[in-house]
Amino acid sequence: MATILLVEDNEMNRDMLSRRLIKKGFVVTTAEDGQEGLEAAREQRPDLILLDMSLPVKDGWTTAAELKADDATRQIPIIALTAHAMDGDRQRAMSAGCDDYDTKPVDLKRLLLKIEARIGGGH
Amino acid sequence: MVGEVRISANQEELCRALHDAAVAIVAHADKLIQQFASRQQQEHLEDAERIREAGRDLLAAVQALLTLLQSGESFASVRHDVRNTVGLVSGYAEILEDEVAPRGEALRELRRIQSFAARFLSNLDALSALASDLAGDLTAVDEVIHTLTANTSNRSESTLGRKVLLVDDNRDNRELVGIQLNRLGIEVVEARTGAEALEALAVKAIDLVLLDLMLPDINGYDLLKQIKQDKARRNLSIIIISGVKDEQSAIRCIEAGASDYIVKPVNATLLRARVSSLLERKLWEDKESAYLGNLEASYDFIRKVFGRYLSNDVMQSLLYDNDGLTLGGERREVTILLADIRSFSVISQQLAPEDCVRLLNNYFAVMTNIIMSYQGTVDEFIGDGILAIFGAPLSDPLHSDHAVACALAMQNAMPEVNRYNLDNGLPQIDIGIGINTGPVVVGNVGSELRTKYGVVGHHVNIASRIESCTVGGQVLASAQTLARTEAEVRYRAELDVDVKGCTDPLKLYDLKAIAAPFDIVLPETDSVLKMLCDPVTLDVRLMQGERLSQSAGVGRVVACCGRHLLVEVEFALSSLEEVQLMLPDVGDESIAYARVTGVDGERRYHMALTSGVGKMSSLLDQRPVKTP
Repeated sequence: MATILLVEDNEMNRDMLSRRLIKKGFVVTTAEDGQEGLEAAREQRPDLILLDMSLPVKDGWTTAAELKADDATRQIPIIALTAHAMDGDRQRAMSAGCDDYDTKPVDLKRLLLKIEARIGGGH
Repeated sequence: MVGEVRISANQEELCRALHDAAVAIVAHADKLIQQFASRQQQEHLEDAERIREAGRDLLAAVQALLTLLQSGESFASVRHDVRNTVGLVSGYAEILEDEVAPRGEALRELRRIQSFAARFLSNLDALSALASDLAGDLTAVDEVIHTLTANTSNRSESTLGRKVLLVDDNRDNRELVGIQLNRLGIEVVEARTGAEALEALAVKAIDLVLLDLMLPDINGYDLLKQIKQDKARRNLSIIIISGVKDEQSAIRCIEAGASDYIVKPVNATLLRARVSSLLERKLWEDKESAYLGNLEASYDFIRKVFGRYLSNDVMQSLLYDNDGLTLGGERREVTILLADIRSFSVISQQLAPEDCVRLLNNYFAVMTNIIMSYQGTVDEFIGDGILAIFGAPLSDPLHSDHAVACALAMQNAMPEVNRYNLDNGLPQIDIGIGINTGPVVVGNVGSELRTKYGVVGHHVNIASRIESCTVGGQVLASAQTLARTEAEVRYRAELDVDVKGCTDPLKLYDLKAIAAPFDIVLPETDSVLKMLCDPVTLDVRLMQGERLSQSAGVGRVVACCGRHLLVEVEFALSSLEEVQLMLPDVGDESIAYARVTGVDGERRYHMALTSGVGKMSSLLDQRPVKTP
């Protein structure tokens, strides 16, 4: 089973998205801010990271850049969850090293396609 | 209306649609919550409440959006939050769609919520597309607010007959505001001073307070603090009405717990909208606390009914665990204990029904206490039998230890039960207990109308077969139970029994004691058999189930002690077979039944009396015995 690290500060969003992903057969761990996400990624080496961009402590862009600068976590695909459907946000996420992006609110079907494109299905 | 911008008819139309969609989401979430609450589907309730909360956020967001539109500002900043909130609605709805019963009412509600969420989103996108387009046909703001709040500003359930306390010393103001509130079907209670306001609050059930800050006897701010300090009124909504010059203090009031504030001169439409929305919220809150009350009441009921059979831990787990009350089961290893009163059908025939019930009630009460004290759950009383489970619903790594110790403790409690029976003119009874360990399906079994926590599976049947092999005073356990038991267990004998449903003979252990930390020992019986000077002749007949078989012959009791006999029989018997015994010179009155508990040499059998114990053993006890 593929493992996904979800970094999201909003409790409801985190709860909801993680439960929906678990239902799809993924093993999901969560982190609440960028720093926590960074540490979790180093420790758990998930198959994929879903990274919110507007995070407390350390924002998503910085977190992504640090993950991609670290040999231990470089190969983990990151899908950025951008707050606004604005090109600027997307560009920033991609240039910070994210492999893909999806806009919030998450359309699960669309997101699953993007996840599967990176790591295959949950089962 | 200085500083406000007129918005287009298209925008107005879209805002109204947004508002309606949000109201529909809240309403359907409300229905869902009602359904889950009435079916005690605790596990879904929380998610349904999240949907409703998100729905309410959407309602508030539409309001904020409108304010931004009116002031000519871009609403891009709130749009993302709004979209995210819609995402929460449809996300949680999707989670629930997956979990609720197919084709049920709940699913229909969820589908409706999904469609309103989609409608909300498409209208929001349309509004975004219009955002920069402020030209076009313009309408008066008041009219827009009016249409937007049409749903709530009409006389609706939330406002009709509600009581609003209006605290203002100015008669004209009271009259003006009073008329507006009356139009909503609200009953207005007027107060001119702080003292009058407190008096009204004390005697009337007020739903909402409109409070002017300038009062003759007390500062409105102090009055607010005084009301909020009263525990019973802490949740009472208070809207502050302030003159422009004390807007700062109005803000202070919000910090002190006021729900909202309106600046004078009071805009009638705004006033009605705010009052309606607060009353609507109060209605929700009242409904919510009514649901909670109902829920609590049904929990109390469950607690009362099941409290007799389940230990507190188990109750807690059933009531408050998310999965406690769902139908369906899980496979789990448990230990099953079955206890039965020997020959109860014979005993009960000789008893008046009320005596029978008295006997059983006392017996069940004593045993239930013991079972609970070993973390077992009385799953069922089957006639005179008790079915107890160890290791479910709460898991217990020591389930077989607890079951073994419990069974021995139950046997040791029988003298207490029989003392009660003696004092109340009831017959003496004894019980046999069978224990088995293995994977079974545990869970709530049944229909939605009648549900019962229970165990199902092959190993339950085996436990019942083991139990049927016991004689009074005996605890028989399977090899699986013994293997799982961590504490040291001592047994009197090892038996091989052919059991229906098993190809190989079942190995059973006649338990005697369990070591620390339980330290329970059954009283010795075997070693004290007394040899009779003259063997007593008996008619012996083999039983086939409830019937006498063709095998019959003569037996000689060579030793006895209480219910335990050593008998020489002229035909072959095997372990656990049941026989009818009769003293030929006494006749029918001496009839007793016994089970073969062991073979001691050729045609010499250990037997234990299973019924008619008292009569037979007293007849035998009168015979002279050899002194050792």
